Amino acid sequence: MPDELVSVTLDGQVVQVAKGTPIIEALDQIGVHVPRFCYHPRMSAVGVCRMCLVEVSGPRGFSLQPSCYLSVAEGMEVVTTSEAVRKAQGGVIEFLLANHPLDCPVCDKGGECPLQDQAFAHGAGETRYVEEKRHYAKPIPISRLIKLDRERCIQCDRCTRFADEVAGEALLDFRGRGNAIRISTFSSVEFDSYFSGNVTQICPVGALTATPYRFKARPWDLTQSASTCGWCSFGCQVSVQASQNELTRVLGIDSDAINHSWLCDRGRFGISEVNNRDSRVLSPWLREGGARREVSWTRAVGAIAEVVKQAKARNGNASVAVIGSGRLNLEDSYAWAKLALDVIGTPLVDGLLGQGGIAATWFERAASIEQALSSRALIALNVDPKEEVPVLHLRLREAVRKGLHLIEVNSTATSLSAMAATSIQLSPDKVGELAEVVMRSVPGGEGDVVILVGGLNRAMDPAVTSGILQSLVAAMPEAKILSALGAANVHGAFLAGLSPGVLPGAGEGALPSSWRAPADSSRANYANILRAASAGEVGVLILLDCDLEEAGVAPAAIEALGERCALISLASYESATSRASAVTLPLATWSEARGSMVNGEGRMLRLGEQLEPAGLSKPGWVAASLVASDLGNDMSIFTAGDIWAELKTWGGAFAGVEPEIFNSTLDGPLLPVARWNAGGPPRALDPVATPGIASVRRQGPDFRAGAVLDPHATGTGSAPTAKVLTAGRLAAADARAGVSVEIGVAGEDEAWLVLARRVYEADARLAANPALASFVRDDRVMVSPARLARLGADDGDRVRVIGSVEIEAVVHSDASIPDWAIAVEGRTIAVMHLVDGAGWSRVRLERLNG
Amino acid sequence: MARFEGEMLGRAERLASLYPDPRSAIIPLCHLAQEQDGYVTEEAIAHIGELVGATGAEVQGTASFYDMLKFEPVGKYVIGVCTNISCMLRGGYELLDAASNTLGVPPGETTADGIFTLEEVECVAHCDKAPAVQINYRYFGPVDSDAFAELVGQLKSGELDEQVPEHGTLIRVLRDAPPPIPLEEIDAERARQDAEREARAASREV
Repeated sequence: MPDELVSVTLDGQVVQVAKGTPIIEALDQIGVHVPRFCYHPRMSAVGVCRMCLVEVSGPRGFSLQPSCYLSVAEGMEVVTTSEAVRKAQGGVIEFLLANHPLDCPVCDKGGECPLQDQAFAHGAGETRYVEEKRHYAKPIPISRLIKLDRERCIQCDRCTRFADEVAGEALLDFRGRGNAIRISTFSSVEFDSYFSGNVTQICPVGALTATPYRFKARPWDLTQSASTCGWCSFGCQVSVQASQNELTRVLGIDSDAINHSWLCDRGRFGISEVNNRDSRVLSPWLREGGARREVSWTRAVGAIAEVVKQAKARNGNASVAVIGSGRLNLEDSYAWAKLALDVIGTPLVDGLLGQGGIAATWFERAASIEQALSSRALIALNVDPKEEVPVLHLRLREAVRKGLHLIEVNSTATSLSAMAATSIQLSPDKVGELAEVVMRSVPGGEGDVVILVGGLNRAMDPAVTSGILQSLVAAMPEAKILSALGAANVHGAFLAGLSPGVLPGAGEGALPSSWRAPADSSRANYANILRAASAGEVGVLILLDCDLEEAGVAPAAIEALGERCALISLASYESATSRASAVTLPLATWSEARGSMVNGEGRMLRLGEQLEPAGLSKPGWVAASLVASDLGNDMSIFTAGDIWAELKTWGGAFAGVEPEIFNSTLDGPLLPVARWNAGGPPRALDPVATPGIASVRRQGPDFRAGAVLDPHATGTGSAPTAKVLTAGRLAAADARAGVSVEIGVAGEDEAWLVLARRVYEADARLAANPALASFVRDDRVMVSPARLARLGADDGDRVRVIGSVEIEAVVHSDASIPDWAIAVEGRTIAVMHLVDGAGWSRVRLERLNG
Repeated sequence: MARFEGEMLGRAERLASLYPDPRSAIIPLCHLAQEQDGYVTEEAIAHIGELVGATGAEVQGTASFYDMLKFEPVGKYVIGVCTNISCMLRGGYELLDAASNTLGVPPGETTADGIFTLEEVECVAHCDKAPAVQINYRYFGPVDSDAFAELVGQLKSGELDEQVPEHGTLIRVLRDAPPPIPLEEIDAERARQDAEREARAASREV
């Protein structure tokens, strides 16, 4: 429905504005900035700060009205420059400053503070108050990440509104009344939310500050670049800010398409691990005679080329295998795909840890986030957005409030359960008929249905999810898919061709002359590669920023693997894998290299660079190029621009994508570009909504200026001549061949394991993060009351969980857990090893005596 | 004793179920907590949150707006001395000084024996009897320093027990809430009458 327009006069200018627009937004549209504090474009208006008072015509003449709270109406006249408005705004500022301390020189907000700025612009310049100001104990920690200075608070209700309305966790609220009103948590209940960092971003004064950023930098010392959060595949748009070659903070950019300016704490405070040089791999390491030594790049790359050549000579191309990860950016993934498939010529490549089948189904029918949230029904399959793609949880909450019909298909209760219209249990014995049950719960036909697919239950092989997804798609051929698969750039790895049986672009790409078609792709799958490697069939196993321990291989097994074959790892952080490797190359991590990535809706997003790569680390594509040269084929990749030029020739997803596309849009383009509606010029960011971005921009290059924005250095630009060899559609169908829903059989005393992903999981990166490491909690086992009774244990007893490994943990009874399941709230890394890879993992419980 | 238990829990649950949105019961439940413990304890706030589906921060935020809800222990008798204009003209400040001397605590504090809490209050709408004193929200006035000392004596001896219950007790007679308004029945009756009227009008036209 097109918006109904009304005609209003704003400061003498007659304009047409959509009916229902708040006056403040209409004024923003014509470039008139009204001072504001409580107004935030992504939250409901409350009109509490009174700063945005303007004169509005009414039946009894002009009166002062809050422009954020009042919507435009036909024939309305608005005046923002009159003496009355000036006086009112000046008065509000004076009242706000009555109790505000004059500690700007030591306040973190100083220099980017809306109160400071607007006091300069609209205040009197001199105070008439001689009275003592309010004093409170300060700062008080309201969580491990956030500190509160109550004296500075101007009671704008932004943080409390965020906690209640956006995050749905009202752990922060006003307390008291009048002069004594202040923000407060309750008693000893921490503001423990995955989204707590957002309150520091939207605070218009220095009342709420992020502990890791406190006293770290002044805004005018910061440089920033537009980038994309590298934690999950949602692709939140961020401004990465750094000072003196150290990341200082990350702020969410208000991207219409993606994150609406919100971030989760895992993404926001992930910079602490980038800065933690002690846990980074800083130089190439080589294992010689049992000892690990630091060596030069030349030495390490030479050693890699040597073992690859030897292995190939001994056992053929397929004796080299590459396991990638979604942590490489698109350029790195492509360079490594080319190295593996073209230069080395091995078919054993998997950059998606077995999720290739899901990704192939996804890309054929990818839905944008907007489409998913405005669909008639959204089916959530094996996904808990809050734990996997946290900001989608916020968007979903809003969409459900506006009437989205949500159908949940999960094994146990999740954060979706409270929002879902229907919850369907994903149980091992009902997988066959699941599609039918789901279909029945979709109201009114199959059109305009989107499936949100994730990897929530780690104990369920991605092949099982893939099978279910395909049966759903077979039942609803019109359905589109939004993916919440793990690791930031898995979708980019898929599209770059770092996935079994997929060509770059995942389309009908013309094969460049030298590129050997990946043969026998069914063997190329993470689980199969690992099996082959442990059987000694693989001579060289190359791991691209992939910690096997985190993926579910026990440290002892990794060491054994290291003895069976030559483990080569490319890593940013030290981990069990890097320590067991024969050669480790240091990889530039997030915000140390420019590039791009693709998120779960198939949108191409920029990754900005803010730091010099730590130590001797280099971008992944550089490493690939170096190894390739040592193998006698330089792949014609000398700059990131070369990769870019080459990707374009593949067509498919990359047809028509030019690097300049990033300059015309704040959000990147959806791939393929035909799917993308670029819309009008990028929306101007509200400088007061996220104060930190506007103020840094004032002092540095503009976001939209190519210098900061363009992720691709101009390369030699000569695209390799594309000779059409095979035009076969290798991609999707092949990758799915042989996928069936094989989940195994549970033995007498066994139960099916449910091991849900969590935001804070004890991987090597979180352990390296001083700000977040403490959020990893102890393991807990949750079972149904009946199972607990059969076990003869009491709530709180310690039990042993026996699967492919054994762990000990406290058991709890939970009525929401089905009787066929044993849910392990796995946070420590040992828990992840309970997963045995194929089908659906089973475990059994034993009570520990005493 | 802090969370609601036994009979109090029953009353609390009844209160919460009285409203279409249980959150509306936050204030009545805080009074109930105050009746139980003399002030609203943190445990009670947490329990109220559970009963009405709100977080502790929200309950605390709502409750802390109100002066009559106390979040720290107060005496058995909370004595408020008014110092607004009528009472001030008639010696409210002098009375407050005298009260402070008599009880041995400054305004805002509780006596060591935990029996009296002295407060300076804004106008309590008892101006015709200025200077006014309220004891557990029951009015006395006009009160001079001697009368105040006498009042304290009477409270201590229990002479005023009938008139002044312990702090926290708002009412001593419990009554059931009236049955909910039968909106559906009323609507149905209205619809029936409207239909009748229309039918009559139609028959007249014919």
